[in-house]
Amino acid sequence: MTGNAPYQCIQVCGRFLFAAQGANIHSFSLENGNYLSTWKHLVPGTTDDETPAVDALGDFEACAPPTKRRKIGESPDEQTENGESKNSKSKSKSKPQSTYMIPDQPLINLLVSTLDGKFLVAVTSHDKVIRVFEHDGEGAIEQISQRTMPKRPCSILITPDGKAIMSADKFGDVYSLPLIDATESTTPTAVQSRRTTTPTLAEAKIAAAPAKTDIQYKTAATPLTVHTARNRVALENQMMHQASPTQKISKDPSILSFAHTLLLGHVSLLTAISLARDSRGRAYILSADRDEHIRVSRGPPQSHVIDTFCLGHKDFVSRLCVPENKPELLVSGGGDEEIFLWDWLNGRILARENILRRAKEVIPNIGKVAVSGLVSAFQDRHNTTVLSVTCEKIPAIFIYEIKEPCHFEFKTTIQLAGNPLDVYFLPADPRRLVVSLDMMDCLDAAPDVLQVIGLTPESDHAYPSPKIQTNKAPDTQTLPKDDIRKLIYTNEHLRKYEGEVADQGA
Amino acid sequence: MAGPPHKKQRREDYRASQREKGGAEMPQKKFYRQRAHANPFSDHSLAYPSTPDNMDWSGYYPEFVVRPQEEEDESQDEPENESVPLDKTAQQDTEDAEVITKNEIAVNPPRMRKQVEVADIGCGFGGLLVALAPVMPDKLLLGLEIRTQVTEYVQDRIRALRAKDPKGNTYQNISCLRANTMKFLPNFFRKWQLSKIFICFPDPHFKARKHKARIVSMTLNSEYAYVLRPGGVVYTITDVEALHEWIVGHFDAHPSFVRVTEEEQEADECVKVMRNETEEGKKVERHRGNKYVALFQRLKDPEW
Repeated sequence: MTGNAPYQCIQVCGRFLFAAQGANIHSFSLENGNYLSTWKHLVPGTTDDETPAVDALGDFEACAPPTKRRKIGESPDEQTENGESKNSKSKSKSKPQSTYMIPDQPLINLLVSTLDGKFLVAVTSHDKVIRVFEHDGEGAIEQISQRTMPKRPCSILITPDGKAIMSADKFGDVYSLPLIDATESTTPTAVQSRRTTTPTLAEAKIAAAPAKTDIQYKTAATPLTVHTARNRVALENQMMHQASPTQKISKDPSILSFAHTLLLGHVSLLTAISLARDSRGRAYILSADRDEHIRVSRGPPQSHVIDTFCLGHKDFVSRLCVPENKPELLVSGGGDEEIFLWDWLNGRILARENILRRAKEVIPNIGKVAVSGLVSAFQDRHNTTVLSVTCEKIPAIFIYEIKEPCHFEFKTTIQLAGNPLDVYFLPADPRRLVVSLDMMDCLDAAPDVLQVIGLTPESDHAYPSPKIQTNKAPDTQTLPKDDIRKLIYTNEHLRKYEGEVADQGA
Repeated sequence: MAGPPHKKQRREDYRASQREKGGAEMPQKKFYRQRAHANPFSDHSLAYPSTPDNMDWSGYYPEFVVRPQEEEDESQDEPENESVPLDKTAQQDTEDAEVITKNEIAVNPPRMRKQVEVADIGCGFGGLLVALAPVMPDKLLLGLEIRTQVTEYVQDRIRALRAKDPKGNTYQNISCLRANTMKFLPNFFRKWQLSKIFICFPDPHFKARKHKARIVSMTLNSEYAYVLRPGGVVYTITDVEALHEWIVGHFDAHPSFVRVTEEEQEADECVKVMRNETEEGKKVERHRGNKYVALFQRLKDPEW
């Protein structure tokens, strides 16, 4: 790739724009658009800061239980781009199968910052690592910690007080970790003593499975509990194995070497989490999953109490947005034709808005949409709440206002030169937003893959926006286009029975 | 899949002949056997309502559907309010949600005189349901099972039991549906709707890597606490000691539950039924295995 590699996620910190391209983070000035600096993701093996992960892997391979086996390689019809043209093929199959495979390449898929912009947190999806960066206030960042999560984080946030990270993962669990991991240590004794001081859900979980690391593997079954001949043989083998002195102590991969708290969990793939406060200032965690649920749990330390569910989506939920000036409201979107407006505390639907209709105005022959971005901003001058909605592979931004009494009012469609990957309202001037575009098919040598645009043509003229100098940033992307697309377009694959839906659409 | 073709054919023939007989004959288990494990993380092709308000219970409990003339009387006496003490806010919620249901979703399921109050999660071949039906004649009991064949067996079994007694009202209060409760419990039940949840002889998932698939976990217990009203009870029984320890450990550690004392446990009639009437319980009896019972009461939510 030269010059037009996309930035899959962006984050604005005051005057600075941080944009992740592949596994690297570039920073730009929003005042004049100048390129400032780059944080480079080091390839594993070249440094020793990757050793913990490597060690862990080695351990798993050496002893039980075996890690998950993953299919490697490409099947012909995993090409997401020509999924439609493969319909005849998928029809002939008796069972719709998920053929989507993610290339195992380093990629930052989540990027957030503290409110004061002093710290950035990024997640590299391939190795499940949460990295915390310190921002020097001049656009340069330095990594201060990295923690490997048990499962791939799908959505993260930093609490408003800037003290903790909440991470929602692919296995349905939400963890809380301190932003600054002051007590980082790899010795299990230190970890355990720290755990005993803060009894929480996660600690309780460990208590429930007493000291897994210390004891020898013990078969849970007994001759009394297995009844079939085959299982009896298996049990005998296990017991023989257990008796042999060469038995290695199994290491539980779920025991993490850093401070963490399991807050809550779904039996599903989590897609988004958000924090909100009710009128009395009590914090709640809103968590959305692939199985159409939005769960409303109390904030820590009562995150085990589910207060309600926001039910009504018919397909996966992929994005949540709590407008900062209207924290009693929640906007949600996903694989449905509509986006929803909720009174989340009572689980009530307040309004729905058909987004597929708007998307069809841009690309007429589509049959479904997957919402990939929901961001809101408060324009205090007009006392309005604006909402930007983007959908996967739809080259446009749909702008709405959230009006009293609680409905969406469509304002405008901003047509773009490429598919929007991430959108961010400028905090200093919420009439403008930064958008990152997929311009990989653009023939220009260096198209504007990061743009600052106004919501209306007037605001565009009144405040000339800087041209972000992406051509000055070092080009770090080496993957072929199709692989990049597989890595950055991940929402549509949350849909169930993909084959069937595609058939209906064709 | 369903095995060799002749087996599938035999099953189809059997179902057809059962239908001809009007479903009055007790089904035979051998035509409904299915592998004992199902992957709770897979999508399957499940049918479930998007909200509890959209759930149509009329086919499951036909005797409890509100008939048109009753609907008029109901405004005066409202019998279900006595048996279903919903808290005020929850009731408010459902009323408001109904307005939305009527306005925006075309689905308007028939109204029921009673709500399901007892759930048997992983009901298997339905032994517990059938045994509990006369014990709790005034409550609606629902079995939830993830395996299609087994669900069908229980449904056919209940149909046959009902048909045997056309006049009486026995077995009208039990039913069974296919569901993955680990994912979709809140789609079927409202907050605090249930008074009892039974988890009998769940899949032990011996391998450590499969522990997340266990039906009891810290995070799932929060969902049980959501559908269970304060004071409600979770009944668990298993023949695997390690799983029993796991269950006790996880419920004990969950702030919403407290273990019921042994005296109270042994005094509970449901415990006797659970020990002796479940299909798996009988099987364990035959193999002279141990049965480990534990009951947990749902506490009130702390101040917030």
